[in-house]
Amino acid sequence: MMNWLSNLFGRGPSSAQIAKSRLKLVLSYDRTNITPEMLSMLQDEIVRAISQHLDVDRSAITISTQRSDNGDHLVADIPIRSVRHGGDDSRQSTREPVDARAPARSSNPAPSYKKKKDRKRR
Amino acid sequence: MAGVVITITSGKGGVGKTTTTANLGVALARRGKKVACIDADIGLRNLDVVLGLENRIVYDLVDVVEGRARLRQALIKDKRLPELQMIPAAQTRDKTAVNPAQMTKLADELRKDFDFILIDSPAGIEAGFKNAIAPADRVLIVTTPEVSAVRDADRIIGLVEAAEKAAPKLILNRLRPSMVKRGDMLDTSDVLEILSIDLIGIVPEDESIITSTNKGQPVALDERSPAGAAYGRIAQRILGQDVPFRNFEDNANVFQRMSRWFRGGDHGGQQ
Repeated sequence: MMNWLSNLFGRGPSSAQIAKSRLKLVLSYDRTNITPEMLSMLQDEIVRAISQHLDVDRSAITISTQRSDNGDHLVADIPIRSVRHGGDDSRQSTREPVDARAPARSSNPAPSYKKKKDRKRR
Repeated sequence: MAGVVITITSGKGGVGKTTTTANLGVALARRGKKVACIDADIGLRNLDVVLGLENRIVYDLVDVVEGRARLRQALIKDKRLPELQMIPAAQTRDKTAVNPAQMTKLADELRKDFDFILIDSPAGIEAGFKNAIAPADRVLIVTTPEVSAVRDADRIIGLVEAAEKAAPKLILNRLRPSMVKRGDMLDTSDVLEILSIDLIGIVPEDESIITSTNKGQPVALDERSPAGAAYGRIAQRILGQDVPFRNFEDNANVFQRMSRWFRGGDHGGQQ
């Protein structure tokens, strides 16, 4: 009885909710065999590739594994600041080498970029 | 007769595979189906004691596979239920005494004479588990609403999929409605969401499981207890009947619902 009262008054999540979020996290590693280190490495490489074409907000990037009915997905949410145009982009970042041969892009970009990966369970 | 082979497995030990196998065998037999239960847990035989047939063992699974006994000789008839028979596991051997091809051959023999062949899988993901799922037409995964059991169930679901079996179904065992209501136990919708699997039944925690196992009289022989009734409903679903899921969980009062809503949790189980 006191337990739900304390929950009602904001003493934090119930033990069942803690169990659920811990399970989701541990299973996302179990299922894909992707460790947090690998995820951060993947994030760096994806950002490097995308930065050649788009100016992205590095501080707001999130990469995670998610599960839906049709499998496990690697989901990258990468907010875009602007589209780079060929080699004459004055805002071009100095942190990343940009391949000069990269084709110019002039589409209307979606607010985020999602990359999906097929389910791979061990 | 072309019997259906159903393997009951879990990954983690102690979640109720053997109890589930025994009681589903009883519940199906009570509904007039011819059922053979096979204990595939070689070296850790237990289905016999849960069914109360331990004093009648002469030959076992390994004796049949190695040709010392004919299948008929190893099948123990349950005197309470003429439709129910059991093949015990060998107690003095290990999992390597049988291979998946031998299990499949044995199950195929039994298909001729039985409507259902229920295989009680050992815990783990090694040889014994592989033997148990090799002949399966359907796989039932047993889990309890605990992090370790759910994690292992997830692993097993992946292995069942990798073995190219039909999508397994879940039995959520030992659910304690009062703890779910307090927010201290994962509820059915939590477990289903985490595992992305279809449910075939919920068995509530019930002391009659212990008393009935003490006596060697499976709880499903009498479907008046909560667990016995739950096994009866699962048997009906196995037989293709559309039995609504009993809602053990959502008797929460208005304050509990509000508190859950404020915490942003799930709004109660639908099962």
